[in-house]
Amino acid sequence: MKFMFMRFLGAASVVLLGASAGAPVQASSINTSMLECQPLQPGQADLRHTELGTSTDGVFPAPRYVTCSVPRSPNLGTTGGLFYVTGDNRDGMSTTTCTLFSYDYTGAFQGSFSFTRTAPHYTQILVIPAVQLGYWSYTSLTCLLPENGRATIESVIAVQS
Amino acid sequence: MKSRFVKLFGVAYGALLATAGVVVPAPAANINTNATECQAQFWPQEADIVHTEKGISTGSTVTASRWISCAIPRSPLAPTATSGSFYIDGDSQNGQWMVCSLASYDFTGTFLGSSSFSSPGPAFDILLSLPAAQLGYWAYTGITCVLPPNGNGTLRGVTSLQ
Repeated sequence: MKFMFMRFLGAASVVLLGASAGAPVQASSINTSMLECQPLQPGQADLRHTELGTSTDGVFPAPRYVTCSVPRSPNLGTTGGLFYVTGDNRDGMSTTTCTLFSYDYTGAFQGSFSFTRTAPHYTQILVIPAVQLGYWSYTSLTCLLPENGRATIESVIAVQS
Repeated sequence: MKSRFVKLFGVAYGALLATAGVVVPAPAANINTNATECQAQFWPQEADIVHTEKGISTGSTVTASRWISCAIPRSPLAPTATSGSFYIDGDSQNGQWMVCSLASYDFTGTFLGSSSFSSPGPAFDILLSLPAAQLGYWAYTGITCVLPPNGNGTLRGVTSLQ
């Protein structure tokens, strides 16, 4: 009986371990702080970079465009890309407009996706079709930040699926 | 005896099911990083650098080359890997060249190794490799490039391969 039990247990182990090896791999995302954003126009030193992200300087009276690198890993299979963009609009009275760009490694434009948010704190979801997000594509985010430090672009999470 | 067998099997089956439910660690993957995050290496030359959604270059009226540095996010190599590789993508126009050097530093700040190239043509897609010994588990990588003047070169991005 003991021998039979061991045989049965061995067979069950093989079946279950086989099933475990084939389990879906956990998605791996890349979380990037947007404090590394740069002015889109050269010579504009009126941005403020903090541990929270990037904003215009508190005493600068005009909006500014910034561009930010969005590191990503290639998606598995043929699914599209999912990105979470987070930020703040101080006092809920300001507006942030951003566009996520995708370019092939050759420099060919693949797609762009824009949003405008006025909420005091927002998490914007962007879904990019796989056809516009190639294996070797580079992604970046360009935002128009309001004057006087009234908004902060905080982070982008490139979710893997 | 039969009931003892069923009990034992139940315990073993439960343990195996719990094991099967353990999350499988994500394998390391390539990381594609747009070069727009690069910085001027020398103060006060930031005003001579143009950042766009496509990458980084010098301004069209800047008549001298400019040095820039960029962080290259990477994942640790697989234990069996003998080297790590990186694709560097960009353009050089009007007969101008771009020179870049990719360097690896240990978390202690110790220099581990570097590899360089000069852009061979208008559009380049260069593969640089470092031996695994120079890409430790905790190493940081960055790239320094000399951008040609007058916006005649664009560094688009770097992909760290796994």
